[in-house]
Amino acid sequence: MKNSILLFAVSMIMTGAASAASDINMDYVRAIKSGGDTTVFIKGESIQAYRNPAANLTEEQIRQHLTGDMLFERNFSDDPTRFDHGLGPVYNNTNCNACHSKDGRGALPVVPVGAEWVPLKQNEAVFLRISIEDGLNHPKTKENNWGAPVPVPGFSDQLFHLGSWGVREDLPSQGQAQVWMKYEKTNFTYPDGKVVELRKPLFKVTGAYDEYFDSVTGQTRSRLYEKDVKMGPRMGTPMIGLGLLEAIKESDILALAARDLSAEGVHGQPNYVFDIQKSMAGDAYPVSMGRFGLKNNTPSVFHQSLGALRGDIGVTNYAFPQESIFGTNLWKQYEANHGPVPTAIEASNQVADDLVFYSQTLAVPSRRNVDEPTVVRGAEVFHQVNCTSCHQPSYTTGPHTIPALANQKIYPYTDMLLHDMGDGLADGRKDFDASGKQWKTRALWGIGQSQTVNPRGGFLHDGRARTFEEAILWHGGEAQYSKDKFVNLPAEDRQALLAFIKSL
Amino acid sequence: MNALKMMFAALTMVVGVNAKAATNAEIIKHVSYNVIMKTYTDLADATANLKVAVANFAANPTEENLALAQQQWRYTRVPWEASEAFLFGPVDALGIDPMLDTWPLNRSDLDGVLAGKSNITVDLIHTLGTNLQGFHTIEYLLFGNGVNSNTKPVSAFTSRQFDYLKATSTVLAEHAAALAYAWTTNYDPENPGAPGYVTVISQPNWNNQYYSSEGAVLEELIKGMMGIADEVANGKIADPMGGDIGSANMALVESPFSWNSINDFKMNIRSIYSVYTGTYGTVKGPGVQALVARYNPTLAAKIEADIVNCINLIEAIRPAGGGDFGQAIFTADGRARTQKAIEALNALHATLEQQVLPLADK
Repeated sequence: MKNSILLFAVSMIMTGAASAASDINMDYVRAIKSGGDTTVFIKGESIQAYRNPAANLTEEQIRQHLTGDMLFERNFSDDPTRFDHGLGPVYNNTNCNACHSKDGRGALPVVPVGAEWVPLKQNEAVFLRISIEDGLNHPKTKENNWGAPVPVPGFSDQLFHLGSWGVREDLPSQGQAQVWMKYEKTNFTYPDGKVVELRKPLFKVTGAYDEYFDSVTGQTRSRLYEKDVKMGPRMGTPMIGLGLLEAIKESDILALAARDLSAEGVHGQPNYVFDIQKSMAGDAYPVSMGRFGLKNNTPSVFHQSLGALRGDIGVTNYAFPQESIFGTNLWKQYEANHGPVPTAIEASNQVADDLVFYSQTLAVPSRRNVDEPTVVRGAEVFHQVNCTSCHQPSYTTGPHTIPALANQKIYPYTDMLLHDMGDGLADGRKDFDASGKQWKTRALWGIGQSQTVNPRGGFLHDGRARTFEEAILWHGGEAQYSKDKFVNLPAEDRQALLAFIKSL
Repeated sequence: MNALKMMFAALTMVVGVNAKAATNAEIIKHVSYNVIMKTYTDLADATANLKVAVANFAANPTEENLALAQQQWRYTRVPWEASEAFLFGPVDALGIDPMLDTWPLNRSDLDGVLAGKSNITVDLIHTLGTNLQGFHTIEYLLFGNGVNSNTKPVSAFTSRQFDYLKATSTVLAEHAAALAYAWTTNYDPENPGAPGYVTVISQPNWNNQYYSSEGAVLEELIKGMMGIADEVANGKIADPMGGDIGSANMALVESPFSWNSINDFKMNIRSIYSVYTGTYGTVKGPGVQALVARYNPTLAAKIEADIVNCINLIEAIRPAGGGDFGQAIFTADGRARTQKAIEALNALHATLEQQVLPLADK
């Protein structure tokens, strides 16, 4: 067992031509313990690779983690006579694990050969975010939920495609609307002639609950079908190392945002978002730096996970005590047919806290094969083509309420900032300060085991990329500079870069 | 059948290999073809038989046909529960597990469907939640609520219940057939060129997208065994048991309607036995035991005995006066017997983790 990390002299390498501002500590090349002392060592590959508590928790913390683990897999029920009730009335899934498969990525629906549009059914790992876009920037006020996306009237900022029995008299098990997906396929050709097929999921919505036939225009209408409604798919993301990302010092992130990488066209920017914990504490301006969500639209694991519990599954909790469709016409219809829906908070505070703790303390697996010459070469190429400008290799974490997460040397490969990733990935939806083209740099730690954990797991915000290579080829906008460098590399260097990513 | 040909080919390769001298490649091949893939083809067959038994009962609702349908449900549970030491690959990637075995079922919504007016067809089931179909929905409809007995009178069945039973058992068989096909023939419905998953897992190498080495597959097998030992001890058994009689919770007991919980748990541990010893049905070949025996024959034999002991201790939970696990956890002596099984399973888990897992990539 090689549990000890090889200590290398810290070598600061300057990128020759491009930009003197991108100084990167190259110790990441052979660093094994991606999560510092929280790292677990898994030599092979296994579907269980992400399912481990941080290695340095106390026994009592491990007990809480394991309780949270059970809750993460709990199928919530909408049977009011059961202890685990709380599902719905509308939702995207019945348990956390269904989107975060074995604490890893989700997958897009299967599109059988020959099929075109397929409906999103049960047990899908993707949903649509929705909002009204007026193209303007608004100051953050209480009235606009501190700059949050504008919810679609009669809906919210998330489309819930599933519902409890009876929510839709006309469509059993349906929620607010039916969602369909198909692929648009294109080919990317490298300068050396190699061709890679890329696929992009397209979505459409039918059967909205407020749908009606407009005899004047001869069209079927719903507030959801109007032109000012923007929709963007969101795929379930890996759960590992989230508490460590929470423990990165804000000053470190701001320092990365302050770098001048204009020679590469890179301008990382923080998001400032509504913070439920500040709001609960009575803070007059409940806004914090965003760290989680695909556009950094939540500030903490607490906010992200309890928001998901209430939204994705429909289980109200002390942070988010109101059902997501409360007060809408769908809610009123449901109450008219079924009597008043109980307004008691569904998840106990203990259940909520255990889920948050679990989400903060999933271990990052160690790197593998770090001494393979190809992997070492790939690690160097990773910097040579400036991936490190956004996929910032390492930090030392600051304080955290969970001591095991504090003061750890970690290698997440993210600058925690937003970047314009170009039109190919854009969803056109603003989210607080994030534009319709900006996405948060995804952490890359543990990514090498993604498809052992979920063989169909997909990369990028909507799971479109089936391989690391496809994911890289979708990079545009601020990442165009690096992508162009990558595609012009000799084939063996491209392979080496992919081998390095596989080793993470 | 393509699958049959593959299995015969595999059999002739494996049978006759001396288990002690087996290589990692031989262990992986035997377990992949003759334990895992065989379990899934058996599951597909059993679900097809359940569909027939349910249809016969619906067409001719007699006590005898009800008993046959109930018996077939129990038979069908066997290959499924005996697959839970290897819940990796297509069963997970294709989202099949929740379609077959979501617990708890959603009784209030099920009652809503039964009381409603929608035509209960296969198409309807396809649109319903994972908690409105699969094993436990069929179980509830066939056996009743499980409170005072594990059966219900034929007179209690309504025509809509028959419709629901027929539709949901048809869908169960569809999913099980898809799972077997994914292992034998094609694991990726989006890529007709993809082979069966049995090929993927039995040929690990650096270019294999999922398993880069033999050690990786052995680790998957060992972690799978550890996972179900932990799940049975600390989830399926300990959760409903609670800290004391006062906190025992029937709502957490899996398979409570048929009183089949103890059989479920035993079959879960049987799946460990199959992977470990390489024994499935009448076929025996090298399992993970052969890996252990290479380094420590005494330990290899002890672990086999420990697995058998766990199965026996689970059987011993059964109350002498009738009933099942759901009844045992409400008596002091039943809880004591249950605690013994938990301790043995946790000890087995520790042995697998500390003494077997490190051998995976030695």
